[in-house]
Amino acid sequence: MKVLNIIFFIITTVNCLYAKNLPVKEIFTEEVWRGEILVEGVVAVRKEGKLTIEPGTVILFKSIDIDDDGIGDSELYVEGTIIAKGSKDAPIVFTSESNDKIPSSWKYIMVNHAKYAYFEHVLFEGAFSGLQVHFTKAIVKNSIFRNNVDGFRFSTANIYVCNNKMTKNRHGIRYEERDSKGIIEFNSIQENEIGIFPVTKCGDKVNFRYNNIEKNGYNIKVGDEQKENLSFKNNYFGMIFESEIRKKIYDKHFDKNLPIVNIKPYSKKPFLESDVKCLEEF
Amino acid sequence: MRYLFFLIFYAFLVQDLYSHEVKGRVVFKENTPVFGANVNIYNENRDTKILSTTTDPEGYFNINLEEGVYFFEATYVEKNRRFVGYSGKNPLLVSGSEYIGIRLLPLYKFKEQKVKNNKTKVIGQVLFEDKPLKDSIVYFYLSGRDIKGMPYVYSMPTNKKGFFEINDILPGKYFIVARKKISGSLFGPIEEGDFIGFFQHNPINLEKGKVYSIVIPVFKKVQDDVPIQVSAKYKITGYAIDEKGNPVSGVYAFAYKNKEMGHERPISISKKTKKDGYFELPIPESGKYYIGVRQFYGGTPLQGELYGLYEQTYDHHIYVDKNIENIKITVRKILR
Repeated sequence: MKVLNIIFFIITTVNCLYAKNLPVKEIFTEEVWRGEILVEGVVAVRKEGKLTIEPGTVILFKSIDIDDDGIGDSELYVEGTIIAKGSKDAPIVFTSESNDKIPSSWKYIMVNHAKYAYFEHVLFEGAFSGLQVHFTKAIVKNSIFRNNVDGFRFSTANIYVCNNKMTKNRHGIRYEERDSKGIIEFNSIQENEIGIFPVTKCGDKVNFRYNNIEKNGYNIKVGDEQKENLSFKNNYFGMIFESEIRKKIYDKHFDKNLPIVNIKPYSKKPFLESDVKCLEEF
Repeated sequence: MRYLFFLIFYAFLVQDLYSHEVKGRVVFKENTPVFGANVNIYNENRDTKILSTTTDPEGYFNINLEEGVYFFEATYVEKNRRFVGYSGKNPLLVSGSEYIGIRLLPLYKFKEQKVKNNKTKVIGQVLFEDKPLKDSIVYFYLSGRDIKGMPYVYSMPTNKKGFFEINDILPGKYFIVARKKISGSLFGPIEEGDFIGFFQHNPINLEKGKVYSIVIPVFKKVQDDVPIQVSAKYKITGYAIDEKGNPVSGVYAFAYKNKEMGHERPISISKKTKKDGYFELPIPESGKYYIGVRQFYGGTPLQGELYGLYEQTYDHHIYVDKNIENIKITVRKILR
């Protein structure tokens, strides 16, 4: 009987949890965020909506986990337009409401089938994915991704990603290239468990160049389902000798079923701030 | 005894975990279902039969296969005339649930004749509905798996009488396939309107000093093979429209159970819309479904592809507990 009671309790509890609905706020017109914004549940920028975020704005995502999957449920979901342009002195911050800022405290900023996305001088921290971009043209510059499971993640997108810092994430950049096009340059991808994680369906339509990819558990780790060889030419991997660089690139050299990551020519010295030249137009 | 029971239970469990449902239908050229056709599943080189089943009165069959590459064939005898058909997807990697369509065609014999010059030659004719098909290409592959890759050799386009010939081919075992692509391209996936036919005696062993006379009947791909729910409890009907509100033809509506659409196969897919943009989406049972429309079936949506999602809810879901009628989904080109 005691067992039955426990089972009944579990079933009732689970049902209650799933019976709850996340609060959803939808943006259908133009909206500007400034100061401190609390996101509890979902904020959805709909197709016709445009969200502009002013420099210095702090967006706090409430740590709620209704489905109990260990990932915070609060998110910003964009199918319209988002312009988040901070400044060097007044960056925009997307972070957890809680003090510890641990990865997965909140879900993500998901830009999916959106009209346009622009992020500059933005800090993304404590999320499951700091920023995900799919089926959208997006520019991401001068920003920091830290303490997330995935810092920056994309698939089938037109992207320009320049002079960002991805650090202390499980994956600095995680991607399935599929039908993407773009350039990822002058980024510092350091101290992540895995610097760059090409999961599957990756090729050479997104050009990774002039990045400092170093001091990660693996600087590049190829996913089990990736079939094509990959090109990561003209990047700096923290070492001078290829044999040393190879120790931090998990590809065919570690597992014969994986493709090869081509790295030559590679830079023998790091790219400096003075080297950075982000494109004005993309 | 307890271990034996456990092992048997485990064996069934593992078998269940690693088998995939393959549904399909066998039809004649007019799309009339074939009851009692034998459906034979071979290994990818079609030299070992894995299993057989028969079709039900509506022409459907349903089997479970472990992950692997298979070659699907159907045979049937009617009034002493033999028919055979092959899936256009052959050889197919089964790694999830699949839908197979097979169209039966009359069985043609082939002839072989010795010649003095010790050379090997293949002369043949490509037929569509028993008439010669001009401008089709006949491809010779070294193995079943190669059929979706590069051929060893291929013919010039067939002439007005559907004839082709390959002179002085190296003796050996070949898989022969005829195709005519409307786009005019030599390679690439078969699309609606293209013609495809498998030589009915694949693989053939071509011997030195012999001339082979063969016939390859082809069929026209009328629509992508899509899974259609045959026992749907509800349906969602609606229209695909462009941003000006005009109907959009040539797109499929789809329903997923998962919010992250594309991470799994859809539960249901409609037939392609026609000029009026109308679609019917069969829904198997009540629940929450995520709804959209896209131009191509299978794979990740591509740049430039027509695509749209149900817009009345932010996450594109509809809760279905009755028939839902006349929804509208606006389609746009991805990243354009």
